Amino acid sequence: MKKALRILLLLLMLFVSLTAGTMAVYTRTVDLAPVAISAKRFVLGVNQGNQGEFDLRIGPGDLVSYQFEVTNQNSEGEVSEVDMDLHIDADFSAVRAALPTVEIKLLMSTGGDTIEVAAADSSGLLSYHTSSVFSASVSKVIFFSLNFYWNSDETISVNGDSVVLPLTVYVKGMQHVY
Amino acid sequence: MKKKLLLIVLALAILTSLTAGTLAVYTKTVSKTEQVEAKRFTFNVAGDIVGSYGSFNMAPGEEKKYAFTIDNGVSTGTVAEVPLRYDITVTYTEARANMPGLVAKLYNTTDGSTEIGEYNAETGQIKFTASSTANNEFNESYVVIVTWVNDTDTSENNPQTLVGTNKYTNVNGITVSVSANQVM
Repeated sequence: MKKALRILLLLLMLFVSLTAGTMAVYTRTVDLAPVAISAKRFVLGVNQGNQGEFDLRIGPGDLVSYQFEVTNQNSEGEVSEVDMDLHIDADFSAVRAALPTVEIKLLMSTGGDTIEVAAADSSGLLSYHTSSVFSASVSKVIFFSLNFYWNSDETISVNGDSVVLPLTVYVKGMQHVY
Repeated sequence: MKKKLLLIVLALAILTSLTAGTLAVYTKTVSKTEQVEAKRFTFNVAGDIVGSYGSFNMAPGEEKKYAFTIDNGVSTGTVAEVPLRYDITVTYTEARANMPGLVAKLYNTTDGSTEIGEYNAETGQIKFTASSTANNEFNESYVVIVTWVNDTDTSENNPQTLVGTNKYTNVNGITVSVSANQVM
């Protein structure tokens, strides 16, 4: 038993010395400086009035407006880091059906002149699509006004009761793709 | 007694003269000194973002590049005297998980551009092994190209839009590690 143990010990020492000799190789690792990755900020802000301001009451000959602002800056002052397209779509078909002579127009102002950029068609649909209206990292606010003018040239028979008509406006900002 | 003593002394004298005579042999010593040196192990890695960027700030549809080089002493004029194996590991696990559509690929750009390495979805790593022979110059160029593939999903608050709205940031988004090991 002792002899066997001695032989085993000797073999073990031999193995260790051989292995140690084999593992003594050159080796080095270099970790290059890590690269930070971040997503470019995307911001679309729409500032609109409360529901009461959107409850427009219009009579023949009246011009009523609903104003809202679109911006590429959030409430913390952080600006979108991509160029942005803007799509504004609205469905005024119920208004058109009830009041065929109402003129519905979308006006736009960027601090200077106010220009008409879209008008509802005969079915009441209004659409305004513009590309790269916002530039990356450049803060901008665009003012919009939805104007409803009830042209009273024609005689309209109404019973005097007010009618509530649904108005839906969609404002969509999309990263401009080149 | 005296006779015996005389005989012993005589024998001793003879023995001494014989031994002294025997030890008087030709002898010469030559000594030589040799140097033992460790074989040179040289390995250099250098890398940087391509372009004047400090980081990868990306939107869907954009790509960024990180270029690096590996040599066995060519850049310092002292080529390694042992064969070496280079294990390259590119890691972007967390960034890939948090930016849906983020893809990284590794290319060897020494002569043209060839995609290399294997991507492991479980570890979020690309691995590739290169090698050099002793005393022969090895100087290779590589680039990691990271693309945030646009998923073209324009639905409200789609995953990529949410990432941009929250401005996801990872300071260790991409790491490149190179190990050089002597080949036995």
